[in-house]
Amino acid sequence: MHFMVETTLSRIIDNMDTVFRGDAWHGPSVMEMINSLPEGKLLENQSFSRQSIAQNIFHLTAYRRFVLEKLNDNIHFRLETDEENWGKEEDLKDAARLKKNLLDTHQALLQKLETFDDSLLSRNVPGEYYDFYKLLNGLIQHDTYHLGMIWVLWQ
Amino acid sequence: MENNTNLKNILRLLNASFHGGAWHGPSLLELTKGLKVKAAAFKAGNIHTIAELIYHITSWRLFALKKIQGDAVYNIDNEKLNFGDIRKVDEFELEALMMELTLSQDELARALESKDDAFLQEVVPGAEYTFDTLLNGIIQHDVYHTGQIAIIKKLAASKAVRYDDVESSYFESNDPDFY
Repeated sequence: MHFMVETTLSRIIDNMDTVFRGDAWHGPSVMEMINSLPEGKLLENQSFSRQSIAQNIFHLTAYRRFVLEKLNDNIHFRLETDEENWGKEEDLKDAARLKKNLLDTHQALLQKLETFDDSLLSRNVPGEYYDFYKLLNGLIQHDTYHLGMIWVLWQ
Repeated sequence: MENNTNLKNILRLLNASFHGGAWHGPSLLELTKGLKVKAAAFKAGNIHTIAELIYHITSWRLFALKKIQGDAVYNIDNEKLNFGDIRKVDEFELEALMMELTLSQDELARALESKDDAFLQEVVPGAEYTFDTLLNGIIQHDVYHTGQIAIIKKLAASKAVRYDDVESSYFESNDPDFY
């Protein structure tokens, strides 16, 4: 019989997945909100915001990729340009692809994280000045920060 | 030796998303310090005003505090408790809202000071989840509404006749969207 031992990392993974597609304490999860959005709203440009909802979704995927690269010890990986952060036009026009990329990247990140133990959390992120505890919790908060923005852009 | 590593880590995250130094971007105080009355009162469609959101964030922080103190009955079950009954936002009202918000941070930190990691696994009185879920939830709830505040400020600024009437003097050289 396989017993799942709860660790700090397993709680972070659980928290990350709950905020992404579970019954999150704070309110709507990322996928709950994205799946409820009318497709026409995705690319709508609001004069008051530099980014559309589609760009915010791309951004959530981009930072999952960032974490994956750092877990693979890629010391040089950075999201520097607007295109790397918010996507090019062709990255954004296909809503189904945009959502699938986010889901696939999320899944790949969880799978990768499950290969580590708690010793990961105090390790310094390659090329950065902070540890993986801060990065992984930061990613969860980054999701909710942009989710709040997406909600206002939707209204 | 007392085991409180996880609790201390949660407190650190709570402080960072509230005061500053968070990985995801600007903290709640960084986005609300120097907030002008016009921005705080700005209303668009069914979006809550920033003043209402500040009240709402504080309400749920007080909910957490009540639960830490063992109150099984306390609940936020009506609109007034949830978002307040703010008829008019003026300097006085905004200052009171910000004061309540910052007090909630001090009170939460003080209430958690004496707790350890075992406390995180206790079930919240009157609820069916643990304090670990509640405290992480409070942080995410703060950040979710901080994201809303960041963009409502931009919306308010775009609708203002004079941009500098509503934009916070704090962080005005940075774009909170970018994080």
